[in-house]
Amino acid sequence: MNIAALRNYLLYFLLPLLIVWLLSEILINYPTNILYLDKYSPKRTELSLHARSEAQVLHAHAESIRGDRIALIGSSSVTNGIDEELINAKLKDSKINTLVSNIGITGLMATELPMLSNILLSNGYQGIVYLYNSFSFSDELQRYVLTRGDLSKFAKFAGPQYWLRDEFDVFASLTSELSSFLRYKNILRHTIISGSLLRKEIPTNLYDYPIGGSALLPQPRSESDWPEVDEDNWGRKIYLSADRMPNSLGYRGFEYFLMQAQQAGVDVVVMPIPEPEFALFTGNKHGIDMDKIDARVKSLCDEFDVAYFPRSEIKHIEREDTLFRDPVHLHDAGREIYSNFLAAKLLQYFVIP
Amino acid sequence: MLFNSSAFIWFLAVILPIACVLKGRKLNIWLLLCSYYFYGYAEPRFLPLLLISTGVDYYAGSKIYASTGTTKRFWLCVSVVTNLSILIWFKYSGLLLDAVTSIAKLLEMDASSPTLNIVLPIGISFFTFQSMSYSIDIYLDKLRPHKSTLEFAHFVAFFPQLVAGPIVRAREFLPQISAARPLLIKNVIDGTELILLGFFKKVVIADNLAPAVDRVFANASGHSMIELWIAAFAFSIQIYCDFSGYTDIARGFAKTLGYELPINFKWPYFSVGFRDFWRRWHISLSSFIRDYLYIPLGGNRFGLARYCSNMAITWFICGLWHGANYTFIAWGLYNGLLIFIEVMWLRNIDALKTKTYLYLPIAMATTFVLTIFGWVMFRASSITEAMEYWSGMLGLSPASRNLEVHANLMDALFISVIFMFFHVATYRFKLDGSYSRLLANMSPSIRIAVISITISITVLLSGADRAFIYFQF
Repeated sequence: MNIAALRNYLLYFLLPLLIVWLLSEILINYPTNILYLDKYSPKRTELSLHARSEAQVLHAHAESIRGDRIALIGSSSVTNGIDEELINAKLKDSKINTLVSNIGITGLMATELPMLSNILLSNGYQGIVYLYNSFSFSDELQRYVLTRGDLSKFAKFAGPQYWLRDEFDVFASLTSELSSFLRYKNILRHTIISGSLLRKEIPTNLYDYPIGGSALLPQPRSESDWPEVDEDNWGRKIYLSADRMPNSLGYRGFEYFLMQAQQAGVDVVVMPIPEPEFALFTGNKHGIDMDKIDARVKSLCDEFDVAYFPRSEIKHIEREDTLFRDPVHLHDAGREIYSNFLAAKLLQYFVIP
Repeated sequence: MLFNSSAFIWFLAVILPIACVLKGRKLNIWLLLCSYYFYGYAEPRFLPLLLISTGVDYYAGSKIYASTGTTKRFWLCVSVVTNLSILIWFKYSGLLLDAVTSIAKLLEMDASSPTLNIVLPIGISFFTFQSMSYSIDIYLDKLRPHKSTLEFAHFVAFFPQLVAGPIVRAREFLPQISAARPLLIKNVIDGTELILLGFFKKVVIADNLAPAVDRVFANASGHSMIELWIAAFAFSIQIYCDFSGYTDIARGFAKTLGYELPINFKWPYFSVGFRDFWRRWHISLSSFIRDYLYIPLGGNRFGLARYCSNMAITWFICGLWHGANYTFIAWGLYNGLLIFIEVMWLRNIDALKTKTYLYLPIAMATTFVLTIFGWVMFRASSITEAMEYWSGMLGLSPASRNLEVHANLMDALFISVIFMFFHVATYRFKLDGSYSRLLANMSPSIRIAVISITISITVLLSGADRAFIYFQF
């Protein structure tokens, strides 16, 4: 054995990496620093998809540190569809001390809930409200998503066939899990380069889209009015697999998360987020049986004695095309109406001292 | 497998400690297996191509050495034809089909080209050329057949330079593989410095310039003249940092393992004329083409007409090597034309050096500007697009006449200017393209601190993950 060579390798390759890793873990994971980075990260509208995704996970972490919160979690439909300030104002008016946090995460699917359980089921959140889309329970993987959560949790409910998929980069996932520096690399970079650390004004909303802009006009409700989408298209597959596979990766991840929440003693409420009715005629979503998806979700909730609020309660929003900006996201007016509805639901359900 | 990927970090974490433990033949076996894993990581189905090229050239080499006359030439043809067939099929069949269809249409024949969905194996242009150099050198009596198949396979597949060069000659590298190579601290330090520099150039400079460059090239007609110049300048920096960055990383890793890979870049943007440029840019390719194509064709030894045809063939091949697109061919011929002009009409250019101190800066600036024009052709996806871009750069198109510059291009300009400043500084202070030995001159604790800080800055400022540009060749 070449001891000198091994020593050189350890000294000039491993030791610097270890130093960088150790310092970054201490600095980045220090609660004050996480809160600081969260507060001063650039406006979401200025960020790339990767940076935005990291900022959202960082925000979820920061909010759990701030504590005494109810997490409203889901995809970008939640990010852009919920006015956190409006809901908190209503809670305050009702003399409720707890706040809600909008921790919508772009592209979040139910698969990821267990992978984020170390944040969601920490002591910071008193309750979780999971607001799902009809694509949330798909069997598909997203490459960048797998680097933002706990891989070991994924391993517990995902069979080996998922590890062999092209989207699954085990090295990238492992590396980002072991290193906060790499996990938050893009948002750190954007934050430093944009100079947002020095700004005086903190953005009051975390929406992906600027406020204003045009909402949709009433949309056609016939499949012939919408372009056809191939079943191999990813945007179509996510809906199809949620509809056709009762034991998809999404449902299994969701089930595993409900089990974790039960064990952790965290209250969970599940309900669908409004999705426009006209979307059922679009190429991605046509032919999808929403009732079947909702029924499957409800059955899992019943299994773990988790509160479930049905889609019928938001039908009045889903019917109005003008409350949406696209087939997935609410527009400003839709956000206000839905946030008022959600505030009333939260007041009804959560008994908070 | 990309150098700038998580998979590579884990790959190194496994390969290096074991390389410290093994010696001699066992070390060569280990590095060979790792190299095959490295190559086959993304697309295992292309591994047989590497094995075929290796096997055919090794066998042909021994046959060439043992034969004379026609038989000797036959075995050389076997080697060259096998390698070029692999290259032509995977890289150029689409272009050939397209050319045939175009000609048929010109002759007013009814023709439509079928779509060939052939995936280009990474590094195919590099390892085929490298492997061929073995049998060609044996044919030219510059090398004897190597006794060890294992060592020859290791030469062809050596992972640091397998997919994007530098193209290493068998006669330079095989002796290194056979020799004992203790892992010296000096090599580790020098190698580490090169690796850090390479990563910085690639992920901080090149990857951060890429988005702005891509946006402009995707829609040249929609940008102002200033923006077109900025993007072209930025692309010149991007391609240099991307490619030389890869070479630095490759040389750095090779160095830490005890191997010396040739220098591939020597401040090409300080060239005086294009002959000088090609002695400084992608040196391993230009010297390969010079030694194995231009000189055997006769070079400039048989009169003007023959010289012109040799130049045209050489630069056609040089351009074509870079990719299956007419733009690369045009770029190659553009470089050849500039060299031809230099040789024919600027013979006395060197004499001007002593006559005016302005000569050097003007000559360098002129060469650089002409290089930028060439890069536009290289980067464009079609000749039409390149022409459109050039006319915009010269202010000939309507959109190009406004003076607007978007913010993201100002960022790209800023990065490019900062890079050029440091580039000029290193040239001015003669920090050699080989090993500057900056790290070597520091105390161990300072050295470790500098490496740690450089890693942090590089990771923090890195652009979105992108493959190395030359991987597509």
